[in-house]
Amino acid sequence: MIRPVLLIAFPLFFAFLSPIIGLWSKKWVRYLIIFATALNATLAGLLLLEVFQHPVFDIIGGFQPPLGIVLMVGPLGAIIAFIINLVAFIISIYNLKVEKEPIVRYSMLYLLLVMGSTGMVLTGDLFNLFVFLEVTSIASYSLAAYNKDKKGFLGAMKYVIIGSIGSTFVLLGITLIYSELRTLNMLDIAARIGTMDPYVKIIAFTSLFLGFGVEAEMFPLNTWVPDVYDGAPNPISAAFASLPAKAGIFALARVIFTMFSFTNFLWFVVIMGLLTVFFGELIAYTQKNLKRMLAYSSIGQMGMIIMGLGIGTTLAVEGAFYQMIAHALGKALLFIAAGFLIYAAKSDKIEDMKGMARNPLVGIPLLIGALSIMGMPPFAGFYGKFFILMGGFSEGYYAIIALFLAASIVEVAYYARFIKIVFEKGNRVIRPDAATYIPLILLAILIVLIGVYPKPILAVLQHVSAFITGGA
Amino acid sequence: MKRVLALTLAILLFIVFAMAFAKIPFGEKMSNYPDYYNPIENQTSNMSLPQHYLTYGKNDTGATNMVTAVVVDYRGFDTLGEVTVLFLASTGVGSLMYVEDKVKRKVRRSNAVVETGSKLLFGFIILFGAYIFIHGHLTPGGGFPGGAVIASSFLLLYLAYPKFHAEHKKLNVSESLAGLTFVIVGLLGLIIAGYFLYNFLPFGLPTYLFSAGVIPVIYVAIGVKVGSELTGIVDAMMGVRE
Amino acid sequence: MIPYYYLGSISLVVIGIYIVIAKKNLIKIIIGLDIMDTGVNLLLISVGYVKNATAPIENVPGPYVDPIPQALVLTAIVIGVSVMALALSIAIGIYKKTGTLELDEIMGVEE
Repeated sequence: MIRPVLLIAFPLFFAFLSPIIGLWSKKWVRYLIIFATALNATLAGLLLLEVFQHPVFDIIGGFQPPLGIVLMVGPLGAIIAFIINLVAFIISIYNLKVEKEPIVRYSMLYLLLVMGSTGMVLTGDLFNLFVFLEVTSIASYSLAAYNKDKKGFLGAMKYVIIGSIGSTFVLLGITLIYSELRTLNMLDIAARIGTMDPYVKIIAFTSLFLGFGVEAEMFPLNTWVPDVYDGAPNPISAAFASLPAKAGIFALARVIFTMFSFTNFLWFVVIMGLLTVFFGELIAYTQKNLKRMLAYSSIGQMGMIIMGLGIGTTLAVEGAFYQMIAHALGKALLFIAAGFLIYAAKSDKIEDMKGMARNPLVGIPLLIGALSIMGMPPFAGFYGKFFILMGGFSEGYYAIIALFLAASIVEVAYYARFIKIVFEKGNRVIRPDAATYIPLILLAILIVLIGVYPKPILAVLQHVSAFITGGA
Repeated sequence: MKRVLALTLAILLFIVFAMAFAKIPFGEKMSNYPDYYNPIENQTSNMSLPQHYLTYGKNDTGATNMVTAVVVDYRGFDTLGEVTVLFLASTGVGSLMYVEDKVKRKVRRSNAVVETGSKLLFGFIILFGAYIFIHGHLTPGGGFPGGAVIASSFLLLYLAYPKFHAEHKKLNVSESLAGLTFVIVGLLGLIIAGYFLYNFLPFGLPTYLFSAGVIPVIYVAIGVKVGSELTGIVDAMMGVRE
Repeated sequence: MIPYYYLGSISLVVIGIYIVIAKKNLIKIIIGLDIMDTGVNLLLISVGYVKNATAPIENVPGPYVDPIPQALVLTAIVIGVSVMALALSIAIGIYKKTGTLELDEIMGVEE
């Protein structure tokens, strides 16, 4: 039997161990990180198989909740944790490309970023969620500035400021909930949420929603996203799009469904989602810098997920979760490919990248990733968008569906423009090295696999109806 | 323009939150708190969560300081996360302040009063810090304040001797060993009793130094860790000096 | 009537938010973040207060205040300190690269 707490304890153990190993050999620390993330991904996979029947509660310290902290893992949490750790493992191979010192500290920060994101998904305690949010964001702040150039520092500063405002809001929300209910366990809160004063309840919900919205890249607290993604080292941009962002949006889902038990259509959430989609996609269309374009596209995609959560029908939430998985894989792939293109073109402008992706080891995965993000069948991204659309359609929200489709068309337009440029006949083709193409190919295989054979994912997503009625 | 916007937003937020907090009674008796509900056993208790801690805390954890009981035992997992946050901060500051070309900065000597005074005080401050974290389960204080006090003694050395350098390797090693102790204590609990961070040592007699099971062990580890991490942060921010 | 403990702490939070939005000097912004943090911590602590009660330590006669907010604030303070340390070191980094901490000037400075 796999205990969920091991997913947090092992990375911590390895992170605390790595300075000691670093005194002896820096190279071994890098391999240790790859080993640790691989171990975590395996454990998460085994955990996923285990929680299929019923949710697992891992009591910490031997005190029954709400006295002590409990980890609460249902099938949905387990699959998000699995995807996070799997992508983290794949990106940790690409980490071998980072040369800048101090590499031991970089590895530790990366491992703790993975640990924090996993913890946010697994925990069943509101304050513990806040602690893991802070672990994730503090690791992100330092990684965002790791390049130590002006771009990186300014992006990180923006992130610190907005992130601190966000965590203040989370803490205000926790204070309001605690002062009324005198508990911090999510299921305990859910059971007694009805006894809260309605006004206090709404303010608490809004505070938590805005606070976790920072990590989930929600409008208007997402202005840090392009600067941070642009300024961070390439593996870290890939990791940001797939680890903390997914953990943040899962925390939002926990707040909406598990704690506050909203089951019907949420105007507030849908409007925030729509604003996020348009903010992201329209600005992405105007971008000339590749990493900034991908960052704005990431905002757009996160907005679609938030919309799916807000529409709140089983189908739409299934779509949101499918989109989370597809986006984690697809954006990680695109950012790794972007790292290679920037290296090959020695410039971050898209127009300088003519023909840079003509090497099949980069080109084919890049094409698969871009098509998946655009939502083309038979790739992974198709089902997510399709389910969100159908979820809205079956409930008759035609105006929202039309806006959603319009945003998708904008997305297709700028990705098509990007693909056309990188596959045009250029002058020179550079061969990628193993640390670049192995992660690309692994991610591409996963995207195709999930797209062509979606059965296992759909089996997991059947539990969505239990999740939105307040289950784990 | 920006100021007006900021002021409007600030006043708006103030009104919204003041209205919410106006509904929360201040200094209410604990008997008025709502009873807690155990979602796993699916039963409602007959008392509120803080009341449970205050009534059964001594039997559950062996500590006499209930805040410590909550911090290290009931909610020990939060504390593990908190320690990780501080570890991250020290690692992050170290990585951001890292410079490849070690250009040394000239510094001036401080005066004789500060030098002699800090020599005298250094040992006592460390002793006091150690006292605070060793007695964390009995009296106010604990690993975090104790560690901060220890770091302040090093800060005094930095003030008195601007060329002073704490050895990074030793700081890193003590940081890691203390962190590893915490995680290993947690994993031992998992192996022995089936719960991560389970308090598996005998509680002993309350109010004695050797009581409360693993709480003093964890607090000593936290004290050492916080002390070396804060010292590391100060050292990294001071930069390379001559 | 809303107690002035709450009003004071909320004012601190709001003052912090105002500083963060309106000021253009990085160090002032970081101070604003710290004020905001302090406000929330005070708020959380005052929520756990019980009239005429003391610290929850054995040997001190009761009644006791709620121990949980104190434990939570301990965590929140440490987190706040960590964020502050990082924010300051990022500000040092920006100063090293651009030679200024004013946001208006930073944008114009070439590396």
